[in-house]
Amino acid sequence: MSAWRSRLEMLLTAGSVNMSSARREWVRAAIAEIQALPEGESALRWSFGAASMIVRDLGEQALLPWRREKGRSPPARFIAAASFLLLLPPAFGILVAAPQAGWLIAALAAASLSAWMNVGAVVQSMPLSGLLYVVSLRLRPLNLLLLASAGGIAAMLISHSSPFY
Amino acid sequence: MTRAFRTTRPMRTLLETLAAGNGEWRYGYDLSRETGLKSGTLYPLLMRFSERGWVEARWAEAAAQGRPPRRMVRLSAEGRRSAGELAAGPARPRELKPA
Repeated sequence: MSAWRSRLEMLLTAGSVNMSSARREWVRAAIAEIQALPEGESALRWSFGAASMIVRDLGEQALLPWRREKGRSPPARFIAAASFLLLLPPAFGILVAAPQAGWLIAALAAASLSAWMNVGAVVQSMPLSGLLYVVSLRLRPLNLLLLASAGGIAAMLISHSSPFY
Repeated sequence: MTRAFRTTRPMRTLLETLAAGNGEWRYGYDLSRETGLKSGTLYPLLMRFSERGWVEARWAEAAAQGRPPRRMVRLSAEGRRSAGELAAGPARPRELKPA
């Protein structure tokens, strides 16, 4: 058994923990095949398939929180990593480059998406009756920090786009 | 409610391969080799087939200690019916009704 195949398998298994249960079963099935691939067969190429399923599922959970499986925790770390990456270009633009009109719109969209994903990670809603929902807040410091950063960056971008700027 | 979904060439190929297995349990890698489908295409298709009751799946016992159990699949009776419908149908992609 190849050691790096085992490491690849462990990495993918760790990534699949927060997936919705039905999809996780199939990703685990793909991961289980890694050790069974014959020598010469690219385990890395095979793993890309499993990784793409994981990223797609976590991405859907991050962007469409209402479609998440009931009772399942949001993929908070994935959301933190993705939203951090989304915030890099706007932050770079504000701190280093001179913002321009088209860029401002794209940067504002990236900051808003980052904020949206983190709102989905910290806010939990449970149906009470009919259209009534109980909303509670999860204390996830990293997601709250990123939410605040996204808000701050969005505010700075809006002030940059102001006609009085 | 399960929505109808559009049949594609990979889907047709996988259904035909599973149907040719005559109810035999198959591993994912074997199916990938026979159909030429990559894991990123094969497993989402199997997942959709499973949601529609077209395939049955079970975990096989681990072949060796320390190895994870592998998942085996085979076509269900409903899947065989759908595969038959596809084989008899037109070659172009079309809508297939759910189970």
